Amino acid sequence: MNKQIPDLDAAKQELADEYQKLEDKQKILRSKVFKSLYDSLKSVDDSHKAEFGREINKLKQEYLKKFESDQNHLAIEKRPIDLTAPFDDNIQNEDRPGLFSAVDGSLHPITQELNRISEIFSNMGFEVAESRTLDNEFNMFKALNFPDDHPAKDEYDSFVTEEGLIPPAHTSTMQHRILANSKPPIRTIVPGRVFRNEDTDATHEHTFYQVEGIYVDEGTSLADMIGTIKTFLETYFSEAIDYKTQPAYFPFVEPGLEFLIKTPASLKSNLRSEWMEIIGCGMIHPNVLKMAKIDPSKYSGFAWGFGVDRLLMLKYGIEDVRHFHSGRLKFLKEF
Amino acid sequence: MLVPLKWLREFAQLPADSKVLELTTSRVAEIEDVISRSDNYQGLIVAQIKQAKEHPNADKLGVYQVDVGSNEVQVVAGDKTLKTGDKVAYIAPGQIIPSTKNEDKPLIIESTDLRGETSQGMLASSKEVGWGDDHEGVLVLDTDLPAGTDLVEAYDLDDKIIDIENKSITHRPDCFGLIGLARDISAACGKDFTSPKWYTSEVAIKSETDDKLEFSISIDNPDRSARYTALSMSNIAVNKSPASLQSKLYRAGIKSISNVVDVSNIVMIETAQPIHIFDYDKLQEIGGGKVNIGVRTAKKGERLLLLDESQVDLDEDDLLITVGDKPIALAGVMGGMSTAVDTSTQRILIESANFSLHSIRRSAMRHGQFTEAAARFMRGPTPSMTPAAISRAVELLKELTNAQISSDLVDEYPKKFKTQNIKVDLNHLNSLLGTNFDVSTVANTLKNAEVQSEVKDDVIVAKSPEFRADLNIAEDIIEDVGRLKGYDQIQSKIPSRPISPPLANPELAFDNRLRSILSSFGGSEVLTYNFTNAELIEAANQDLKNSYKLTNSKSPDLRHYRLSVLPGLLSKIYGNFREGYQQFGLFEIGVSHNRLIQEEDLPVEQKSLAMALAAGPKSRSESENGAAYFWARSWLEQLFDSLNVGNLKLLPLDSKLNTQDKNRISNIVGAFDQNRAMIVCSGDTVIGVVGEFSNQLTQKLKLPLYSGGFELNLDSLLEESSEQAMYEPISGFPSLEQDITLAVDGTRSLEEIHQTVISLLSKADEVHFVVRPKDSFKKESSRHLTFNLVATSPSRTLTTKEVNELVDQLADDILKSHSAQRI
Repeated sequence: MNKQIPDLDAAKQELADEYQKLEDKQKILRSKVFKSLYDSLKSVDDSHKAEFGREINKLKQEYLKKFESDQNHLAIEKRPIDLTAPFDDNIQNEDRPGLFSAVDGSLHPITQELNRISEIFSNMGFEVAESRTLDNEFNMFKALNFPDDHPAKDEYDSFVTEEGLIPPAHTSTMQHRILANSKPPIRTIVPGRVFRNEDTDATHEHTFYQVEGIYVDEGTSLADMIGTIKTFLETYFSEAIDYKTQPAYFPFVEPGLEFLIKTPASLKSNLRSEWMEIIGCGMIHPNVLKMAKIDPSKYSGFAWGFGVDRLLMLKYGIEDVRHFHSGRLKFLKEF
Repeated sequence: MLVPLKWLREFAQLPADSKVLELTTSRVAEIEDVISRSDNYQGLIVAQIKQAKEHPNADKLGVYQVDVGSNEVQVVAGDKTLKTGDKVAYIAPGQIIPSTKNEDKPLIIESTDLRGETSQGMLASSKEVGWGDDHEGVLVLDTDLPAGTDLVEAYDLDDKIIDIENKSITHRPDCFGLIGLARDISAACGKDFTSPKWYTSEVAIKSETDDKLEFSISIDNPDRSARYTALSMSNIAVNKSPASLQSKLYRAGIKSISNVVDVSNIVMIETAQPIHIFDYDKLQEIGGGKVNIGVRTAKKGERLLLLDESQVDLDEDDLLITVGDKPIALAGVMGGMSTAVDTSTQRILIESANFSLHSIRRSAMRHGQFTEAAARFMRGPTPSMTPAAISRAVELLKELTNAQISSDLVDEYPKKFKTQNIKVDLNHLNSLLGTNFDVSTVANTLKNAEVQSEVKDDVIVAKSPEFRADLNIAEDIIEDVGRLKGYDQIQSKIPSRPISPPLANPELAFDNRLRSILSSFGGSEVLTYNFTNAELIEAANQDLKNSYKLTNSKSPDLRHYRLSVLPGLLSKIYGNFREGYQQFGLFEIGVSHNRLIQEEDLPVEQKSLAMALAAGPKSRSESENGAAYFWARSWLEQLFDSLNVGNLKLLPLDSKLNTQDKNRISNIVGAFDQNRAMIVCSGDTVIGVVGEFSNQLTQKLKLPLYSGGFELNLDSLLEESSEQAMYEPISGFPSLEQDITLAVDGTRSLEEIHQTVISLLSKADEVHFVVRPKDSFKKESSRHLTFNLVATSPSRTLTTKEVNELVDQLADDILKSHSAQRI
């Protein structure tokens, strides 16, 4: 029993006509002709089904190739234009393409957030410095009092280039430069991009953002540090925060602490009553000060660093960290 | 690291669990999780054998009448050795076998008939309760509690186990053992702590027999092995550990193997000092009758079969333990198979040594062996505690077997650990912490952690204990005091500062200006990775050799540093079309690097602005809207206008440039169509390129034909735009405006005519003309160019007549010079 076999030749003719007329040639791949061919596949008897399916696929491939080669062809055959002119020949003013409407524009949520954080610290008297995106072993580890071959380095999963340069795995990479190039009192924050050799998924990215802070003056204490961080967080979240600390180990600070807060109401999280680790901080290690030629018997200071991506995700309820570098307008235009 | 609290309490008087947890996280170490395993043992009870008989139909099965507390049941087990009175772990029908609890299909015990004998439940083996790998026979319990008692109660299986985040105590090798943690937690609770006697007082260990098991130790690399302590014992009977010991190890996350191996694990868990136990007879055999233990680095080509049955090709940097110069263990990481303790072992050698953390870390990483021992050595414990670990091992081995000490303690200690006297000024301490402690508070806090000190006036001299590797400078002591008293007890304050404002950052301010302008133009800001792949670099006509290459990235898409920002941005266009956006502008301010451009041995961070405009055929086409080049150019012109950088100039791509200018755009220009792009200058400085994109990129990234954009070097642009534009006084006199259309040869460029018009009109005295191109119509070989002219005078009101005359003059002049006919 031979069920009806669709007329492939007729379909080919139809496609050729449609392709001719189409302005956006790529649309041929979504043509109704293909759709009806696939639909008709259901009514073909089993012995011919596979072969007929292959024929349709082949046809589709042909059009994909045709589209691509035509596009190349078009691209290659560009006419000469007068590059010195501000507009093309024979185009009326109203047809010349220009700017979009301001409502179409959008700023990336990360840069907006970094700006907001910078503004708060700037109001608190901090200068804002930029971080590097490629640095050396000295600034990444040595200047920060990491001993050689130390397991503390393993926590950073850093990338490394053939030359031994390191994409900074934390913004602390800027600490030594800032300490060495300024005189106390030093108050500087460094928002920046950091890199870790991680596989990406909804909650992991190899490229993310941190804000480093450094404060050095005479008689600066751990009490000052807690007060500064608390003040920032209360301004940032626009609400009083509940905080606690726990001891932590970073070779470049001593004492070293982890700053935790009860999830603020402005963050979209189910963990309302849970403590979240938010900032790593501590009093700058005397060795770090010494290496930057700051006398630790006269000056003391504190430093901190925190990640921005997770805060932002909680703030807006963003479900996937990979959106940030996706370049998708669907995502970007929400901000 | 898993820490069972009841085991911890063997060493210190501690408050209730909840308080211990609270003070541990706030003053000692980060706790990742608090675990209880009691759920795994629901329904398991202690049972007692009442009667044992042979199975009539099976040789290997035993049939037992078992007292399970409430009643007696019959159970058939694959073990005929149980005796009346033995206590066992009974799993009733309907209950899950603990070892299968977390498997996809947990095994549930049923009442069955085993070859004609009813079996109501199961008598568990060590493997089935999840404590060891032994599946040979039923586990005999060593509890005094009566039949019917829950197994959870009999073996402390409801113990709270805290999972400490290792990285929070990386600098505290002593805290990788229960004694160290108990000490610190106790001090955090404000309580005095005393280490067990065997831990601190060095007892002389002497041979208990005249029939000594002799051996020698020689250390080739004292820098890598500061101390090697060893002792031999005889009369060992290797056996299963008692259930209480198995369950204890289980709570610490370690499987029971045999009494001897379990002892080495217990010592390590308690003291943080890993020990290793060799079979003495095997040592003797390999050593050719003599047991000369050596510590040395490996020789080229040496191999070693480790305890986990992996064969390791040794590196010359690996530190080894040898006997008769033959490798027997990867020092501090894992023992070797050839000298392993097994069921036939009767005589042993106990090693308790210290190895350099760097050496161990390198070996562990090289061979991927992150063992419990390596994890502890990598933290750099002091060499002081090696004899204590042996004392403890001896004590335990004597408890478990009839072991006899067969040698004096041999202690090679070439590099003595030096304790330190650390001077701390009370003022310095209080000033750094922001506290107001007095000397006695400081001294007592330290004393609770077994740090002795002497106080003189306001100076505390603390003596670092033998077991602390991390106390070297005043700040180390200050940290301990602040931490053990509780950072949260410190009253926070905000630092006072002078009212001088912080210095502005012009680069960041400029970036933000650009962002705000371009988003007001309707552009969307995008962030892409600094990393890219080789194909995209090559498609952008860039030299792969100039790109920094990552050696350890997993994905090929992240193998290279980008050489410019635009190609990555362009790769985001196609996806947006697929998601239905017909026309849009994307921009990114980003950094790229070039191996050829360095400053002070570091790559220059080249910041640039990349802009990409794209429109699908439905919204724009070249025939309707003119070439996309002009679209990109109009955005560029309006950006310059908004920035108030007046001097935008465009040069053909083949213009002769100086090296510096050429370098600035060498990685940018390749992304563009060489026939439809221009070099962007601000004044005389080359800053970038504007135009349509190259065929190669267009095809590779599936760009719509109607697309264009620009990339600009921001350092140069900022420099140019930072010059303050000067104000020109506004004229009080009205201006006159008219258009002029000139027919020129089709090959003439608009800019040439434009500049000619400007220069001809500039000859007029006292009249200033602003000349703007307005239209261009091309027909066959001729071109009609329309310019808008606005005439102003700073000193008088112009008449139409005089302006007309000037424009007429212009028409005459340009007809002569360029055969341009006024229309």
